[in-house]
Amino acid sequence: MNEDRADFELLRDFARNGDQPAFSTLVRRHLNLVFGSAARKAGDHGGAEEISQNVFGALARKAWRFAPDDSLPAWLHQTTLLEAKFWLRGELRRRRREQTAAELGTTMNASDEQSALRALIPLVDEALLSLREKDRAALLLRYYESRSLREVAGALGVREDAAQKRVAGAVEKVARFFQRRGIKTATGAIAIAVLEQTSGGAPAAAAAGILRAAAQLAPPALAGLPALLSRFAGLTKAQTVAVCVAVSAAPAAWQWNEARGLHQATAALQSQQNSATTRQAQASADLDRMRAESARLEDALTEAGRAQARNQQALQKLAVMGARLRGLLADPNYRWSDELPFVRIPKSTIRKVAPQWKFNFTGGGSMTASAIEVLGLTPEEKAAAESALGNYCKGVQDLMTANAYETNLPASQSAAFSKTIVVPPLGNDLKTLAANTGVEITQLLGADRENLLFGGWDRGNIQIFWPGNPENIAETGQQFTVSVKPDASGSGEPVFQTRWSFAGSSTSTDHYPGEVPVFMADRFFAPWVRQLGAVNSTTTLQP
Amino acid sequence: MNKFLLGFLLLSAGVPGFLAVQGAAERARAERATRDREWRAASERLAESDRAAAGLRDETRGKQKRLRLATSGAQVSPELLHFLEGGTPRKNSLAWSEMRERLGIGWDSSADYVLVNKSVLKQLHLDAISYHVNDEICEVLAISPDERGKLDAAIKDVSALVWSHVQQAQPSGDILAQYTLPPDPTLPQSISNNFSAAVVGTLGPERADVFLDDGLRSVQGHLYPIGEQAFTMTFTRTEVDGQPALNFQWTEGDKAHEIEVQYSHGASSWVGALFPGGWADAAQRGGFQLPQRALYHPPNP
Repeated sequence: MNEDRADFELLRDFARNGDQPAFSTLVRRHLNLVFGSAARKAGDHGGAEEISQNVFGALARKAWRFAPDDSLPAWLHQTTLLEAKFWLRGELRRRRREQTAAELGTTMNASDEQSALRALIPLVDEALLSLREKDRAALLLRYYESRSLREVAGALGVREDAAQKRVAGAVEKVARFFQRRGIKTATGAIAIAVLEQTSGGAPAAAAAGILRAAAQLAPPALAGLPALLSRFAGLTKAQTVAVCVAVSAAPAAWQWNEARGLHQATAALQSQQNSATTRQAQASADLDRMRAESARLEDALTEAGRAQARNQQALQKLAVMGARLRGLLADPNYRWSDELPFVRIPKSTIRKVAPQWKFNFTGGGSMTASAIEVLGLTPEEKAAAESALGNYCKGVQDLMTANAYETNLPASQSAAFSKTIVVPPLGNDLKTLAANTGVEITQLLGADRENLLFGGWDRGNIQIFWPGNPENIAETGQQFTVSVKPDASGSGEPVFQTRWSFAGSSTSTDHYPGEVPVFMADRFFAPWVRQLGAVNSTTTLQP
Repeated sequence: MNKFLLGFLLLSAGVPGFLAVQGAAERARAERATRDREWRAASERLAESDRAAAGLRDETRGKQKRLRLATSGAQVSPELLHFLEGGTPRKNSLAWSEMRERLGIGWDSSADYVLVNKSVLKQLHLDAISYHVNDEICEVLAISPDERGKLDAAIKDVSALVWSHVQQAQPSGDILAQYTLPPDPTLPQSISNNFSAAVVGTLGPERADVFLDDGLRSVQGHLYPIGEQAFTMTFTRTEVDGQPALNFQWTEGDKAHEIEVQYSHGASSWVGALFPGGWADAAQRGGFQLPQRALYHPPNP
């Protein structure tokens, strides 16, 4: 079974398992090659046997180094030559060489062809060594181990035709080697002849001796680094390259992977840092804003504290002043005080010192400062009273406007244009409004103050034109007249005269709207005045 | 051996690559360490900012609460506060209303009196003088009887000052008495100075200011016929319906007016000022007697 197995498998079994039959098979398979080569170098069978034993001994020792793609014949041939060289260096070297020289000189004289062949024999091994290992292995298998081309192809791991071409090519290379060494006549055929001539099997006795010696050989016990190296040596070149690439690339890959991880971690950190920086900027802005707000509040607190202190002091002063003022009201020996902002006035004098026609309220209902004071109004009382008075004034205006009508009274002789508006007595409508207002003010301020503020008016009076005597327009009609003399002054401007008549008396002025209340002028006279072309008379048209 | 050499060469060839990758890894490691330090520093700063923000937030909330407390409660208006701190409120200020409201002093605080701020006294209708000091202004300004006597005396002093400038002509024919007040630009100023000094000296500057606001107008213009032209008053004997009568004529420049001296014919206010006792006072000063027609009613110009 071992006969069919490849050299590598046999060597592996021997190296790893001590498979002696496998090694014997190898020895038998390559014995002729080794012995033949040794014989060519040693010149006798004894030396060749010794050399062969040394070669197979070396094979046994170095069996672990072989790889599937190693050529065992090439190695055996090279080792044989090396061992032969060592052997020849021994004490028998000189004699063997002289003897060999003598024998060569004798044989070369036999014939030219034989002479040429004999001259080439010493160069055969040198020529084989010059070949590439696969070429050398092909020739050694084909000629020194007498393998068929199919077997050579199988041993080399190629197809048969490729093995044939390789053998032929190797032969040509050997021939050219011979030619370079001065044997110009060397051809492929001569090379083949030399190879065949130098091939030779080991004699049976020698073979038996070698096999016996080989059977005693055992593979070296390998452990540790040698074992690892043996494993490494057992790899093909491709495997070796793959292992070495893997071994050299693994740390780099590990480092690369680590660097990649670091880059990713760095990027993540950078992202986190960017986020933190952004948040920090936001936080800084928030802090600045909060600091500003805090400072503002601090200032406000300081100011509020000051204001509070001022307020407290003011309230204390106010309390003191209040006590003094109350004292004023009740003091039978009242005297003027320059220190106090108030004086007391007898209520009985108010109607004289603050008469209605001068001190009550304006046409819009706003109360005068003196009225507020003499009536002792609080802000709330003032607001409520002004609202009631404002409603009354508005009601009077609405009633006047609603009841007014234009007459066809002729213009005065001196005026070119004249227009008269009559407001009839406003009757119960105004009386009701006035009475209601009086009641409202009485409820707000009491009867005394209502009388001082609105007394008389609550019967339907109103005072629009001339202070002093409120007129009872609820029972008496009014008449408003506007007369216009165009360009009377020669300046291009019209001259106005306005007149109000009431209860047989009247008052007039020479400007517009003059005696006509603004709301009456707007409602009844303004369009008419514009029609008269006085629209640009800004100096006189100021309703 | 070739395989070992090949292996050695391959491994050797891998060394530079390994070193390069290892260098890159070292640089990445250093970069990562730097980034890590920076990130930790940034995180620490952020944490510090967060702590500071939390502290500030608490501080701000506390201040806001204190501010609310500080600004709550009764706050005096700025105008009233200004006054209570010694300032002078603006005209028609509502500070007085506020003060009355805060003090609870109003119309109903007294049955007889009301407190009025001094700032509006000049806006009231205060007739200070009607030949004498009026009762109303005495009540408003709390003028005592003694002070009122001094003021009345000051009014008389003004009258005396005017009379000291009057030129009296001797009676002639039917002209029983003739008085001429020549134009004198210094007289109004003298009256003003003398009267103001007397009022201020009597009432003090604050009340005098209110009193003189109307009183000075009265003594300067309303009570006395002091103008830019000579003013002449003439009492002339005449007859009406066959009865003795008396005419009173006064001229100012080229303007002349004449009335019969009767109770019902009151002259201008200056007549009362110059002759406080009426027509009888004029007759006494002129040294003539009033006819019966003039005595029909007690003279009361």
